Amino acid sequence: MRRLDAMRQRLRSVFRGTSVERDLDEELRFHVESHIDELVARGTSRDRARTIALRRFGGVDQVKESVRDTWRVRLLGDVAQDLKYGLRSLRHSPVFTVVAALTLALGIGATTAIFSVVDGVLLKPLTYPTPDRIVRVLTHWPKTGHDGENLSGADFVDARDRTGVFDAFSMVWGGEISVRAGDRSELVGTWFVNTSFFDVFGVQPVAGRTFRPDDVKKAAVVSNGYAMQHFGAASGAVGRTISVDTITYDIVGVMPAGFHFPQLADVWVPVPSQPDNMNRSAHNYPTVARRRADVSPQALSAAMATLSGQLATTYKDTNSEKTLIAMPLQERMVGSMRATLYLLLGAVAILFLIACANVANLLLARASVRTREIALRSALGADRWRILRQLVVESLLLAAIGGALGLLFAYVGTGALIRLAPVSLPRLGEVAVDRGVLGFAALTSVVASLMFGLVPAWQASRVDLRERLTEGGTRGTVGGGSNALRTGLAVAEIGLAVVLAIGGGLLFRSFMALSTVTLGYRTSDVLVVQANLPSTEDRADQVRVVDRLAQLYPAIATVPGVRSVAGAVGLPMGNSGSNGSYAVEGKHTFAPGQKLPYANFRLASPGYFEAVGVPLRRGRDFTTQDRYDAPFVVIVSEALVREIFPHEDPIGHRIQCGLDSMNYMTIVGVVGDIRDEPGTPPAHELYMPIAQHPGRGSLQEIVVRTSVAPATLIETVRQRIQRADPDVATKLTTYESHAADAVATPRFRTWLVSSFAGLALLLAVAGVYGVLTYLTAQRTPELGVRMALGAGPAEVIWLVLGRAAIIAAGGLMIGLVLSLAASRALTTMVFGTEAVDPMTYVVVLGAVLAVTLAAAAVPAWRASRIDPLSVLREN
Amino acid sequence: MGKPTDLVQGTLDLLILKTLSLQAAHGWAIAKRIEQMSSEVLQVQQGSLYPALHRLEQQGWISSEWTDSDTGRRAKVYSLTRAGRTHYTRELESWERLSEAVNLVVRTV
Repeated sequence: MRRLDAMRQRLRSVFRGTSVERDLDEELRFHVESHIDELVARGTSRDRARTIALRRFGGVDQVKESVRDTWRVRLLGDVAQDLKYGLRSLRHSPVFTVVAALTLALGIGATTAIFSVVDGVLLKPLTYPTPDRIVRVLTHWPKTGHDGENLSGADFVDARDRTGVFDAFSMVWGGEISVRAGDRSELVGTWFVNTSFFDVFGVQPVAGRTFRPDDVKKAAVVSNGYAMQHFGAASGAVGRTISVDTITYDIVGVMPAGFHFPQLADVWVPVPSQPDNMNRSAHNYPTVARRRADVSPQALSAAMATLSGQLATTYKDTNSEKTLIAMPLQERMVGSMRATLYLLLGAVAILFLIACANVANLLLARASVRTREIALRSALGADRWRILRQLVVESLLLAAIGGALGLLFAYVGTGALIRLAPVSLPRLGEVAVDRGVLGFAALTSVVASLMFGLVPAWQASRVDLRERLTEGGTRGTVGGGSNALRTGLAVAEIGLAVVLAIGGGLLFRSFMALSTVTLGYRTSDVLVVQANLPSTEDRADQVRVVDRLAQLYPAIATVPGVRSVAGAVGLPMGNSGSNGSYAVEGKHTFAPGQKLPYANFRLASPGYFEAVGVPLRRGRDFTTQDRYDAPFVVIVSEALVREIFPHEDPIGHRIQCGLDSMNYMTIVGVVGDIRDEPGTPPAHELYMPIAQHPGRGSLQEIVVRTSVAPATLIETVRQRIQRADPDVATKLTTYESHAADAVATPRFRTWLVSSFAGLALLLAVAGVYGVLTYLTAQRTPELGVRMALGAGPAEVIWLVLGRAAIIAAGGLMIGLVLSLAASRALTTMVFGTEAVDPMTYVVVLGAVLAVTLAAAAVPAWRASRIDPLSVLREN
Repeated sequence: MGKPTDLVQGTLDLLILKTLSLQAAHGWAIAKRIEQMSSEVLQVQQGSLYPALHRLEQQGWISSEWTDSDTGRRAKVYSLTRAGRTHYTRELESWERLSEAVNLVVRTV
């Protein structure tokens, strides 16, 4: 009640200042006038009485100000006092404060850093106007659940023209190809789009304009970066020209910095709205579109489903097993990373919980030391609520310090994460410690303070006054419940650490399996040169281009340190790939409704297999005689032979595929299996001579096998090519860096989860150590008595170790159960092992048991050194 | 009778509580009574009386009410709350302990 009154008065002083002021005025005037009345009654003149009374009162304004001060002080007084007291008490125990703040900073910092990545990649909307209306139109295969990147030409046209749900609709395909600006040719990310492409995104150019319908094959739009690099400024680029594949385009517009769709795009050129290839079973066109504002996402899905149904009935052969779907662009970009990022967030949340448990344990230990101080304060009139509040304020202070430090960690950590993250992680540029992340850190700190602070504060405020004050010594405890609480926290810490350690162990094993899996080809000591010459639709011209590029091989081979050189199109783990159905003469035909085998199509020059270390099992390699005008030949992989020719010799059989022509190709050789990516099984492979498929041979991956570190040859090889044929645009990388990119995502999550697991174990072991030290110190009198009665050091050591074993056993049990429950989250990420891998479980459980017992060693040893005499004397 | 003694820091609160424990009163009356009861030895600094009254009211030990006084002016009359009465008893005890202790020290030869 009185608290309520005081509150009301405070509110009055804040909100109705004038009326309170009037009251004060009246009160003081009454005082002075009473004094005057008294003086006048004694015979003083009224004027003189007024002077005396006012002088005696001592300055009405000063008095008023002092009264006002009491109002204000009261308003903030309690909190300020709590804060001041809290700061002082933290300063008085610097070791506790530093350890607790660093532990918290670690938890908050790691959590915040991971959150900044999750936020930047998954949560923040894309930076386009109305990002939710931008969709990718995909080919969905219900049988496998696979979402195909491309639409077939005819499906593309139907989705665009027959649904009426899109404002803008554009194909977008391309890659790094040769672009000439002035007299310089280089490989530039170039994308072929429809003229409505930029309408999909609703982004305006910084200079010039975007496409008009009559721009096809005439105009180009470039990125801000490209314009700056080649023309000095965005405005300087408009009106200049660039050449792509022998066609010259006028630059009509420059997009703002930060607009990169797709990721590597620097040049966009418009192609006709009618696709070249209208075959419904050839999927060649990645598609983006903009949903109409008056069409809901549900209506869009319904329209796509309706169209898919109609197409499936009309075109049974090609469309009965696929549907067309529209997926929000953001979902398509980041969907594949969601599982990994949420896994990391979960892992770091566990680390955070362990950190909080550790600090809670520290606070409990501290509270037991402070029981006398708390008892004294309540004896001096502080009620329980007040003490509880004081302790909570201290927790908040601690969390604030930890949070501020943690933010520092988060800044550093986020930078490190960005460097560590796989290149393929989309939207990495948008990851930043921004306002949202700051808010998250603040929230985390408050949550942390509640988690680690409330229970110890509640326990401490329950101090029994009389008992505490009368009890001698400083060895007061906070009541029987808190030892159980402390042990429980240690058990929970171990349990959580076990979950992380098992997760980290499984990922580590998978990663090792991925890294050592035989890819079937060599990635070390290989330099990859992407080389491109402009080409046209003319077949004779294409043959000439392939011949010109082939002349580079001997030129490169003369560089010292180079062992062999060969050309390829569709290098495993490379940027260009092609695949499709094939038919073996006498076994399959390309008739409608036929089920055909599927293979990767790769082009190679003579010597390719030797250069990348793929063994020739049977038959012969390509030779320079396998020219465009010679009989067509093909080399197949063992996986294909096993399935198609289980009991016969494949050499001499003939194959046709839909790569470019339907010419039959004779099998002349069989080579070893390869895997495109470490995690996939070997597929059927068709290798064809580049010279016989010149239409695809103008952008090659020239494979250079070296006898020295390949990176050291990059400059020399580049110059040699430049000298041999200045028109060739090149880009050089080591093959190993491709391989590293392929396992970058597993490496990223393995590295992080393992680090978290290591930190978690460290914290948990520190927690166990702290609890055991405390409990042992508390049992010193008991142990002293036992020793006085004849117990040897060994028995005392076993007593302490027994306690550790109980904590470890409890923790392991909890960890085991939680891990089994969580193993489902890992199934998509493990490779070469089961999600419940007994080996990992056994190793982790054994290791955790060992380190827990090791943590008990010091307190156990200390207990064994107790001097019974001095203990007995003390008590 | 010598010069009136200034109040020891912190004892004003106790004196106010004591005065109000006998009878509700307004500020002027409280000041007068303290001076009378102490046979004019203690003189209340009137400037510190009102901040003290307001502080005690904020702390909930005393409450106030506006009444019409005999001279016809409106006066703010303070009285002890229940919590205030308990507080007063406790303050009184600790004051007695303190003064006893001080006496003990200063009288020891």
